[in-house]
Amino acid sequence: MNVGNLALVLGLASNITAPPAYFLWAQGRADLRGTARLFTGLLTLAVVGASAFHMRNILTHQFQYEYINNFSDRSLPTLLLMSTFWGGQSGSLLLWSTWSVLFGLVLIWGLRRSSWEPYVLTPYLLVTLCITGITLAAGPFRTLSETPLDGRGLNPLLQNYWMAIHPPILFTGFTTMAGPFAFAVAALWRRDYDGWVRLAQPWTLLAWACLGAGLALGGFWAYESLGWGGFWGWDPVENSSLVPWLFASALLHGLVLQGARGSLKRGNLALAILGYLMVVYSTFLTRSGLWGQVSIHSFVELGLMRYLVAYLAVFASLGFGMLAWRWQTIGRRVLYSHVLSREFGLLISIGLFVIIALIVGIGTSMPVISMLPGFTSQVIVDLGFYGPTVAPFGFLLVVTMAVGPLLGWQRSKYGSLRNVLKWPAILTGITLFAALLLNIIYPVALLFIAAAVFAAATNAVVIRRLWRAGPLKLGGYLSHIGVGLLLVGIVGTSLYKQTAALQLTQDTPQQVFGRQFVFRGMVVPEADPLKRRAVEIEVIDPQAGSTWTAHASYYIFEKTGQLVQHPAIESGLWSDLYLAVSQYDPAPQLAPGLLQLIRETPQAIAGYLLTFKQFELPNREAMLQGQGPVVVEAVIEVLAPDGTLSVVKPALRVDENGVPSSEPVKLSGEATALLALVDPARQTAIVKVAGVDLSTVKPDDLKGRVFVEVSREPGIKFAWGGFILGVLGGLLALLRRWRESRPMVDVLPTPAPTPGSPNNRPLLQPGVAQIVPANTEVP
Amino acid sequence: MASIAVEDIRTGSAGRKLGLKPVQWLMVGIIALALGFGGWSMSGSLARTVTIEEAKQSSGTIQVFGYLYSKGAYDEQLNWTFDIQDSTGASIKVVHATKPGNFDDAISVAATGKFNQAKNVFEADQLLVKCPSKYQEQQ
Repeated sequence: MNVGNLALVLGLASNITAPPAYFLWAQGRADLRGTARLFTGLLTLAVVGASAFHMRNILTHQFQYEYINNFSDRSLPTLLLMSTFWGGQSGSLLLWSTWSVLFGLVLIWGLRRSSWEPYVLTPYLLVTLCITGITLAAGPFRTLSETPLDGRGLNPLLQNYWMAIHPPILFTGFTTMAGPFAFAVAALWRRDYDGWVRLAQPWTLLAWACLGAGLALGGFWAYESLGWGGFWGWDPVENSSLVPWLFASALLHGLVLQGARGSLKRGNLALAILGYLMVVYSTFLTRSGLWGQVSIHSFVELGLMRYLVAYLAVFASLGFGMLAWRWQTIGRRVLYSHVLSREFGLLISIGLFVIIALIVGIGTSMPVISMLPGFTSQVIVDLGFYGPTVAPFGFLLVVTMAVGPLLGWQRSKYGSLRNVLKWPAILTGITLFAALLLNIIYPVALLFIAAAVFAAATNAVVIRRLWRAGPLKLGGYLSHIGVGLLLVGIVGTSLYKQTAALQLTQDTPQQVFGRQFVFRGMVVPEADPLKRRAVEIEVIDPQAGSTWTAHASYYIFEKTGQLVQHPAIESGLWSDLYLAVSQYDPAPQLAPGLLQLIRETPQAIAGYLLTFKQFELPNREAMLQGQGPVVVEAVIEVLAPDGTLSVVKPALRVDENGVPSSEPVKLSGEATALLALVDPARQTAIVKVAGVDLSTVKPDDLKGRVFVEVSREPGIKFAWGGFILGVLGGLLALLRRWRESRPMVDVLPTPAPTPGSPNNRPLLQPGVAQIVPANTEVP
Repeated sequence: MASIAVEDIRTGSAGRKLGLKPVQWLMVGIIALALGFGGWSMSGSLARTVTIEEAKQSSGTIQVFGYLYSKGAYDEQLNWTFDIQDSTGASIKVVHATKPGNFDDAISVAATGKFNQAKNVFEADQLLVKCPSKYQEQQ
């Protein structure tokens, strides 16, 4: 047993000890406080120690570890080397486990003077127990019997600086979603259905911001590096992070509603529990291998399925069991029924978030659902399902977002609203006019743009009103403006994206989108520090009189023989020009008569059609023993001009002194072929054909070709700007709610209300009502 | 406030029975509408996974899975075409608008789309390329 496994086992042992201690403390054994905290500390120390040990092994290239051998090698720069920590399944679970125990400490620190600590930490430590257990089962510290000299390296698609940023942020989101879950379970346990709201708010916001940032960064990574074009593809892995984010959004609004009005107590508890279950469920989906035929992301079942199912079952029964048990004792406050109230707006938005989450969640789960009895075969949902199905609810959500923040909590009058809405309406009108001038006439696009601009403008009005209240109060409205911007970007990139497929012959210009595209050849751009080969395309814009020299990386990753392509992007404020090279065909003839033959690809010269089949080593035995010359034969199928088919085997021979020699072989008539060069790694052969009429060689035969997808992505900058603003707003709100949730007033568990009189509870919790910003009411 | 009182009286008896307020009725209605719309929308986009033989007989949107049988090439319209073969030996020609990024490393492909009887090709609107690479994942 090595140090890493030892640390994990010690951590697991502490983790098994800590929850009962906390449980007993919550049941009145306050003397166990020290024990509970001690074992939580030990757990943290052990898991962080295991992580540090893992990181040390990665940085010092300990290839005797299976994981490090699989995902790392000596060629990686330090930043990417560190990223291999979470490049594979078990490593990313270790990261998750580490984040979980560290946030456990944050939880203890935040609650240290509050009576909530044992109630919250008991369920939270069950979460860390599951994650740490699964990590141990996944085996990040498994060793190999022999130590390889070098590792197998990180997938070149992951060799990107985003790899250092995106997963840690996403896992912070997954981890912090456990916070609201733990608070909800604690609330049910101590029957304090309002006190948890204030405490769970910063955690919900942190999870929301991190999941949102994770989604955005993932989209940006795919756009910038993978050449998908666009930032969202409704891929199951993307969807499975979107669903928890949607639940976090719903919970966020629900907590604001309960904090201010005391309503939606049951709903919020259910949302907090469901939100975390969605995180576990999506982990289960992405790591179970069930999506083998559905997702671009290739995940393989590593035997973790049963653990994940158990994990899901335990927390579903814990959460919903507690909720069902306490259901009747949770006091209700009658919802205010006026349609023009902030309360109603929040309620509608929560409903819409849940509906969208259900649409995406059920669609993504269809491969799993169709495994149930009653389905004859596996069923998937066409990707065309999501956009149009989500769109109407998204539209309603934006309308709610536009009007809701302007409304008073209880009731607003149409007249006063009209006054406030004047400027946003004017701005929307101007935007629509501008859109029409830009030839945007598709009604759906106009509708969405109008809604987005209107929503952004009304939230700007709210910000102007609240300006004096300080920046911390503006977070939510800032996020709303971000959503408006994002929506404009979505309309642009989804409805007004233009794409053209081009086949470019070297040095031959082609026109598309009013620009001229010329493929200049394969180069190694000077600006690229990694010295990767790239396709050079000159893009001339005759209107602006400017030329952009595009370099789209296109190279073979030597270690795995994998072809890697990255797009070239010309960034502009209103739209990006996006070039994704899908294939490069080298010139059929390097010089007249000199053919570059690619396996199984017929090439014509002077009426002959040559198809290179394979390489053969006629004296392999002798070569392996180091005797005799190296002889490589290229097996070539020849279709002669008279229609006869034959197979020739020109050979390249390298003698003991390393001098190559080659004899021409007869094709038919006067024509001969000579094997000039072989490249076994890329399975190409260069053959010199003589004795034929070389005047028939066309100039194009000496030129390479590329196949390029050219697209225009209008409004993509709006999407990125919206993402940034949205996350910033979330962080501002987080700061505010974090301050509000401290200093913690130590309240002992409130006595349970008698189940018979749930409606007799006070309408507003006195301590909570102060949060309502009085000046948000419509005058 | 008067209007609220009126509402309460009007829906009072019906609301009491199921314990739902008008707002909640509205929510239930919206959710029912949403589920109906979502279900209707989904019924049009469901694709069953079928064998290549079945695919050639079908008319709706389906998913076929097969091993790459030819290297793949661009046709005259610059669509990407290739052949796949399943374990029964049946093969089918697949056409897709673009060449997927990792196609050159692929061994098998899952294609979602429709079979075109007239042209005898499978017109895919979604391709999933599986590569033989050792276990790798992306977050």
